[in-house]
Amino acid sequence: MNPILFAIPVFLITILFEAVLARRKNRVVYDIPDAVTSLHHGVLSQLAGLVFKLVFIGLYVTVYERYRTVALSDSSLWVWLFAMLFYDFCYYWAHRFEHEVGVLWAAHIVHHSSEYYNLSTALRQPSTTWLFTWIFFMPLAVVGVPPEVFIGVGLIDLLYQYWVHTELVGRLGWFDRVFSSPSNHRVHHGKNDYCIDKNYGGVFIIWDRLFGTFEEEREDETVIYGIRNPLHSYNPLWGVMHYYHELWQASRQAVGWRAKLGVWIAPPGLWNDAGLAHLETAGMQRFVWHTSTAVRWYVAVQYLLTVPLIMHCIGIGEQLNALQLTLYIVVLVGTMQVLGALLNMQRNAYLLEQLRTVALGLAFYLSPHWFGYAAPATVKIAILVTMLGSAVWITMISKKPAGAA
Amino acid sequence: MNYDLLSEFLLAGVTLGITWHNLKSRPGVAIGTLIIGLAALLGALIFAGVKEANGPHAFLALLAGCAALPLLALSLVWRDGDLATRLRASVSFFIIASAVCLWMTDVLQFAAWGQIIPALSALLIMLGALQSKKLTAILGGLILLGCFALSLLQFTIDPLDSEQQLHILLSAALLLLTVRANQ
Repeated sequence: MNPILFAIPVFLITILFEAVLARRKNRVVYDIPDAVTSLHHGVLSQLAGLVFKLVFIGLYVTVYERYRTVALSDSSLWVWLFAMLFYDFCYYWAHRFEHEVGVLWAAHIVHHSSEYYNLSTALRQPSTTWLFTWIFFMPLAVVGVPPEVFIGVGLIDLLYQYWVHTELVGRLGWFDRVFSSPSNHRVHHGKNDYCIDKNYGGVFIIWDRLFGTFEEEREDETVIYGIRNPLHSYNPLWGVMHYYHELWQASRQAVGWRAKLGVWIAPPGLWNDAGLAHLETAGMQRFVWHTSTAVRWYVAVQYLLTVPLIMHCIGIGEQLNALQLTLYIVVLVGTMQVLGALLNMQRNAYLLEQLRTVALGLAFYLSPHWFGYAAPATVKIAILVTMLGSAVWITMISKKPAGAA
Repeated sequence: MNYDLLSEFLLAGVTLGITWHNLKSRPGVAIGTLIIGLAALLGALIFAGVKEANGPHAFLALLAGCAALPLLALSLVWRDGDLATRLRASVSFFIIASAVCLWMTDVLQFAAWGQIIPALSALLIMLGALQSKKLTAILGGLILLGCFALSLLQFTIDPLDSEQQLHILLSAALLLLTVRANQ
């Protein structure tokens, strides 16, 4: 059973809790379109994981079997502690290179593309890190960390980083000096001059202190979150691909094959010996797309209605054949794309959403089983009614004049 | 006499010496030779009786051929390029080439990748040496090509076996290729 399945309800409840708490403190921490987009990226990342995680783990097992120094015990506490520390060390370097090498940044940029900093940002995970980032963790296999321990510490490292994505927890004294914490990680997500390429640590911040990338959060300068060339789109697939597209364009424009290839290895912004360009953050505004309140809430509700499907897909993904899995992924990605189009106020988005809701409701109702799940008649009827109701709801929203909501 | 140990030590000594000498001025060359040197050092450990070094030696030897040697070739041919002169570019190239190597050999099961890339790198180094018109570089390039050819043909010079011969010729080739390369 994929442990992320157990984590999803916890994620959603804690996000809701953080949003309520922020509202009570009169803090603008959440924006529905932004949070939904973050969640979309989390889902995309899990769906990509269904396909590629096995390849990655298979690679780890192959390297472990062929090249390991010794076979460490998977039942020793010391091995787990060593593996945790070593994994986090490798994570530091993986993360650092994800920021400093163009083609790796193209994958990781997704995680930084939000201009908000909250628990949903933690779930805005990249979908294409499987391309190269795994190589940084191969030293664990060569040393002899068993695959079960590697998977375990990897999960601990990933889940630990969830809670540091919040503005509601202030400084934590000694804790901030040893561990990655909300204060340290806020700096990492900032685009202020002093924040760029700082605080890469996953669980421990000591690596940043050791390798000169640590920066303390400043009280006299508000951290402005996001990337320096803002994405300005809620389209999840474009969010995943936009920097690859940027690199591709830069590569096409470069003269000579060495320069063309060099673009992919160079740091974001290419080699620039003059240093980082200054960004004036005073008075900087977050990206606001004038999506109506009605559409925002509609999309939030639709996302929640899609969660059971997402959990079902992640849960049974490994049991489906390639065709079924592809089809299920197309259904979910299609859903997220249409919801993104609604938030972007794209032309035809209402029509697409009407088609999606009706098609999904009918498909669930008419098919004998939904990817292996034989739903009782009551569930089928409930879903059909919900989806047809959604179609009516979005039709009503679409008929309102712009700005009326 | 333990020729295995000696030849590995020779290769490790030469390559790590080149690394030390080039660390600041030519990081591309330094990183390339560092990986070859570490692989050789682990090889020496095996022949000194440390059997646990077998796995890491094989792993680094694979990366030395498929990632470090291409880096070395590119750094030697284009001496003013980013790969040759910027540490971050050299390390990034090495990491990405290593990932591609493991993809090709372990995921796609294309084992020939482990031979094609070192051979292409040796050819590139030879072309670069010819372009530079430096005697030492041309000699180094020829020895490098020669040692791969001898290894492929399983031809050995008594009393050395093919591995020992490869290590000794590789040491000579790298030394000739990198000595006075800045001039």
